[in-house]
Amino acid sequence: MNETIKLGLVLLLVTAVAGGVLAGVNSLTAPVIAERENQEKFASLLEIFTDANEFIEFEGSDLANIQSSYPSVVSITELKDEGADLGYAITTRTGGYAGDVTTLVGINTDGTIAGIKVLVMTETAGLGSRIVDDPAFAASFAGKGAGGSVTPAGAGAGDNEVMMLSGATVSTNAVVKGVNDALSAFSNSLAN
Amino acid sequence: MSLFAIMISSILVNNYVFARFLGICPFLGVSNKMETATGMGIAVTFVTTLASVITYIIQHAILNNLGLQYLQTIVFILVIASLVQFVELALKKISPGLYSAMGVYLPLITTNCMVLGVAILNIQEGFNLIQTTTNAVGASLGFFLALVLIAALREKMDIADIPESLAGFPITLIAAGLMSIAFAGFAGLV
Amino acid sequence: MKISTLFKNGIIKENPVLVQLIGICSVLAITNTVENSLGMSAAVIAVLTLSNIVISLMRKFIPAKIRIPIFIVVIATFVTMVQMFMNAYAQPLYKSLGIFIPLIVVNCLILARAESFASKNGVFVSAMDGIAMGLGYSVAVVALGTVREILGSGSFLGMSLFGESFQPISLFVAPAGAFIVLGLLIGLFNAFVKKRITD
Repeated sequence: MNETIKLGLVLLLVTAVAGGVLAGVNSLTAPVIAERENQEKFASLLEIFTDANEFIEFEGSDLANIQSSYPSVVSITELKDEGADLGYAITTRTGGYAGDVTTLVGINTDGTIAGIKVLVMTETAGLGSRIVDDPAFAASFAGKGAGGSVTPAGAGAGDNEVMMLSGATVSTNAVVKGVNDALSAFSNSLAN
Repeated sequence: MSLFAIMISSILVNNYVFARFLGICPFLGVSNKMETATGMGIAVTFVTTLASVITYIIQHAILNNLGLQYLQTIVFILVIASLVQFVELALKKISPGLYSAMGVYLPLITTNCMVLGVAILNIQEGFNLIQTTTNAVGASLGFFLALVLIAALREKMDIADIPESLAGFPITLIAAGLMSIAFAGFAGLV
Repeated sequence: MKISTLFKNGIIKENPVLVQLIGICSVLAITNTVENSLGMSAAVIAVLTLSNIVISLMRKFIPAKIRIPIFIVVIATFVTMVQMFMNAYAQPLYKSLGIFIPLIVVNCLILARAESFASKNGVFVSAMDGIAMGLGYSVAVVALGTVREILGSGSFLGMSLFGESFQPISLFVAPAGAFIVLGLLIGLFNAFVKKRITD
């Protein structure tokens, strides 16, 4: 019995030291990580709304109400330029081919898409990853969506049509679903 | 995601062996006979499901509350290692029949990256407890399916004429590659 | 033990990937680009060398009965540290390696070296063994990554090699390509390298 207790104590000691070391490293790296994530977020917002200088984050029940109808919505930011409404940036998370795809959707006050950016994805390199790697894909969304939704088709030339990436149907659809959820959330809950 | 979608996704579309590369070591190690493949499959299903539920509870009840998310890896692996030991002891006492069926595979499971992989992915995907259990069962069934399919192929390959340098693991990997192409066909299901 | 023997063992004779076939999960998963392969190699070398050093230092004090749990705690600690540093300073790499960074914990290679080498040898030799085995892993992973990226994406380290008209064979960056290329690579290794050593 004595031996068991001794062994237990040794293991406990080792684990405690390990935990202590990790806590130390964590306190070093956590602020760097948080800072960078914050910067990335505003950087993406500014890519879409270049004039924005006011960022109003939706919180609490305002966000929860919209999320109850559109569960894919992660966060909503209202953007203004010197008090003038620019539109909304809605982040959505939808299921892709290999894990979730997080998309930032910028929507102008008139309900058209200002621009999109895929923030996080783990799709297959060379295939699904083109939702990030191919700039023409994101570009094909801009200005569309006045009808309340977009559909993927060919090069995405038509009204409310966006580019279909051949060989990456599931990844394309994941982004399109995120964008359409954002458009519906905007027209039903945010537009005046 | 609906439970059915999670199930289909983890068994077929994102099969943990063919699409996510988890659990490859036992997949290569014990897939030479149909019988051992079945034993391993059952043992993995049991441990993965149990481990997913326990790690889910630990993550949400302890780590998240104390802000200790960074200890996730270390805590999960210790939980899995102890769980495997515990299951081994318990089975020996309670059900010698079951123990003789899957006992020899249990020690191998600690280093089966699928168990830890599924546990971490469940947390990353933000699943609730029911979804976690569903995903764990689906993942294990997918592993089971992959193991049995490749075991059946390897029994046939044993009597085939294979170039010397490719015999054994290389040809098994190539066969797994062809199988993976077949599984890619499920991509549009969910 | 001679250091050159350690390196010869790690890279050729007992190459963890091509000969021992351990730690294959991450090998298959992260070799879709050369960049990922290099990143994963660096992580594995770091964890393997550091855990070998610490375990060798502690080898006289670790009770035999609980050595495996202690090895696991040491390895998991280093893996978590690598994970934190990557998240802070190498974010794109952290994202694309994803779940395979925490899974280094269960990479049988590292536990195997702790058990069979570091717990029985001095600090310096153990560190060298860690580097040697890590390099063996890296050689295999980078070779695999090079083949897959060139054939599957038509590029090397992200630089396009063949111009616009080249249609890459995307099968090679898909999961199936990983299995097939690794199978062929081991076959080639068996046919040319292994034969020569045993002769």
